[in-house]
Amino acid sequence: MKRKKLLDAMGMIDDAYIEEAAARKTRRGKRAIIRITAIAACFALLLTGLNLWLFLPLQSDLPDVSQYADSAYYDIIQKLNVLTYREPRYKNNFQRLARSIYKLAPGDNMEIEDAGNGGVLLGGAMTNGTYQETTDNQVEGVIEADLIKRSDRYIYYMDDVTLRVFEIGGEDSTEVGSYEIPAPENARYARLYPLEFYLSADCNTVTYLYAYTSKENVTAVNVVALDVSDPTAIAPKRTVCVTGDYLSSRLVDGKLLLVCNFYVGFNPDFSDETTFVPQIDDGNGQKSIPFDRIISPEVLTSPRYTVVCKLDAETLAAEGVNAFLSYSSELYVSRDNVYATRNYYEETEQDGSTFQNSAMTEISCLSYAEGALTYKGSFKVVGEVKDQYSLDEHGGVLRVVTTTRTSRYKENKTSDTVSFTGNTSVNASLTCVRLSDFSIIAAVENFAPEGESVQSARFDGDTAYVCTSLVLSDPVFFFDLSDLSNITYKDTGTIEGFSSSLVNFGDGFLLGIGVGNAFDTVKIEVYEETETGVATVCKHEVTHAEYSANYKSYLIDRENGFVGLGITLREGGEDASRYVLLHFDHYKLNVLANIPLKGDNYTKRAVVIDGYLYAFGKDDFSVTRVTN
Amino acid sequence: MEDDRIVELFFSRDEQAIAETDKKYGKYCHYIASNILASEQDAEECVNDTYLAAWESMPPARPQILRTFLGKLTRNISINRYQREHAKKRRAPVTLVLDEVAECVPDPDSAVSIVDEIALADALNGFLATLSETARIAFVKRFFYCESIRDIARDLDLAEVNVKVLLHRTRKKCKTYLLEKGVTP
Repeated sequence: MKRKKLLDAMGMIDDAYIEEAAARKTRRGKRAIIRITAIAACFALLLTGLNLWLFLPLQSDLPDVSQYADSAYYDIIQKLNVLTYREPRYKNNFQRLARSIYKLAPGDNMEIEDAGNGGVLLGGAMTNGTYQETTDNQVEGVIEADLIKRSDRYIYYMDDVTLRVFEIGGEDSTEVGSYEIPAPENARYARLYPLEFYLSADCNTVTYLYAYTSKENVTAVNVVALDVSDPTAIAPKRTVCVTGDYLSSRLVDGKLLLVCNFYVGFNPDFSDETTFVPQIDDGNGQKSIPFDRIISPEVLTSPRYTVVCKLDAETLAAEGVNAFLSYSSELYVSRDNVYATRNYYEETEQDGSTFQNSAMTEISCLSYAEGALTYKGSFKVVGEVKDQYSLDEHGGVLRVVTTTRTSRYKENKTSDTVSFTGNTSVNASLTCVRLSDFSIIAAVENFAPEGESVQSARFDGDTAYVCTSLVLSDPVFFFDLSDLSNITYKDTGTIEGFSSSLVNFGDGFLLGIGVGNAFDTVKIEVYEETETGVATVCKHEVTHAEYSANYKSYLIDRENGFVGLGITLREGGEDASRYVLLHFDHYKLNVLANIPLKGDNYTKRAVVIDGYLYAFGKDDFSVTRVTN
Repeated sequence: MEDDRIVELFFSRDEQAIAETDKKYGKYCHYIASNILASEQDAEECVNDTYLAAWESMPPARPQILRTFLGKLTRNISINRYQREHAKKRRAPVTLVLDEVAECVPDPDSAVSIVDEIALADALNGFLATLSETARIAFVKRFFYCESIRDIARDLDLAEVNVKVLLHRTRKKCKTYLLEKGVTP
């Protein structure tokens, strides 16, 4: 009864308390509905978003870059946009996830950082010996970096990443000092070629070039000056960092020309100049190369800049920069100019339905002799250049040897297809260009047997030497360029093998280094011009052997008639790796030394000093008496 | 429709008042009735009886909060119905509530009634004012609305065991409070 009474009394409690309790239930119910609805809505949204992201087709149209119309680089942006755009590999993200692909890497930046105090590359009151040139530079006075340099006291050799210094003393020669080249702090890995270096005129400084890829996937090269005044205590003096893919360098009259490649990656962000314009940091922050310092053709064939930087050899301060957009890796440096080449194909129509594709080379000239770098102009020649030795500047004329390639096609208008006619011609040409106006003033076209391409070329004053080959036979041509209005030439006729390098060996002799009647036969051959043609004077062959086509790996001593190179015997056992020194006595090639020498033929080096052969290899050094 | 307008319909003896009341508070009244009675049919009948009671009480009554007014009517009708059903020994949810409310009463089995319902209601109002919001809502939900522990736990976002403990403590406090006030049913 009392319970009932209390229960009844509860029915008479304040309405406010009844409402309070009822409101909580009402809100809770609504909240539950709201919560469920919200969860369902979020889930639906998530599901919709996921489906959209997975199955929405990826953009496959060329991006619109009109938003960058106000940029000074708009012309370059438009060209690069066409060249660098890549359609998505997959139709949508679902396909992409299913295959798990990487993103493409970004493009490289160009940056110079001045990271050290003053350093001396040339000059200085105290000298550490007298500089002696060891590298057979293509152009006299234009010094090329190498793995070996010397003074009259010491020989400096870059053994992988160790700079070794040897005191010259004949059979008593010893290593007196060494320096382990440290990897840059930010390096992920070094680029796969040796660390070349320069030796200053006072022989107190070694400046080496260390190309690497950073942890941020940016390629760069460190230009590092070492104090070698005391070979027993070699120490770093100064470092300048240039980001970009190292291509080449030259040292001319106290100026270091540094040439790098700057790559623009796929689908660059045109709102960020660092992704498509080479950068320079002169210590005041990173800046884009001014657009008026960039030369680009109307149609790009490659999203790559060739950047030429001029540094003061003593301070490593940047004195000028130019960039060529869409140029190849072949470079020739004369005493006054840098020539950058790019290969492309040109299509011409022959009749209504037949047209041909011809290999062409565009060459741009950049002057560096007078203060800052200056663009002089560009011109085209028929064919492709093989290497730096295919070009030569002489007497205001640029001589160029090229391999010409022409393919012919026929267009089928009915089926709207193009078919190859099977008519391709390969040959060689020599072109002479007047540098004052870049006009072609002379040319010898298709002088080689049909189908043969240029294997090597060399110029020596008014003479040009060219070796062409199809497979394993070549003629070697001697050109007389003394009268460009009447260029004459002679050749050896078809002979066995071909030369990958031709060397003017003095006294009218031409030295050819290459392969003989088989690809595993190393051939060193000497030619001379006769009244009727070109004749072989002598040759030396090593069968079942390999050699390096790197010209700098050869010892060329014209004065003494020495030629040396590293070889590897295929069946030589432990002593398979060797170094051979030959002497040309104007009649034959005599073997002066055939010594074991460890290492890669590409990096072996040797010099002959006072009758001794000093040979350097991988953790290997030997001195051999070769002459009295 | 606003409560004021529904009340006016009652006052003007417009039968639309019943329809509007059912539309707005039908589920509310049904929920109260079903918490007390075991049978859905009985609960439905009680809701209908609520409308009739409202029709008969308005006018003259003019409730300030129509929902609460209807809720009380439904509750009383349902409890009275329960008592009749209880005599027939048919188990209803309110049985448990009665068992629990006994804990609030100092001497639940005593036949002596010392204070009338109004005084008891006043005492209960005083007691409810001393409680926290959560405890008060749980107490009212349990002993006015006769909601299940499960429903109370869901509405208050508490575990059932927590609600049981909360109600147990609140009942003991109620008993103490009533004793202190000298109010016993």
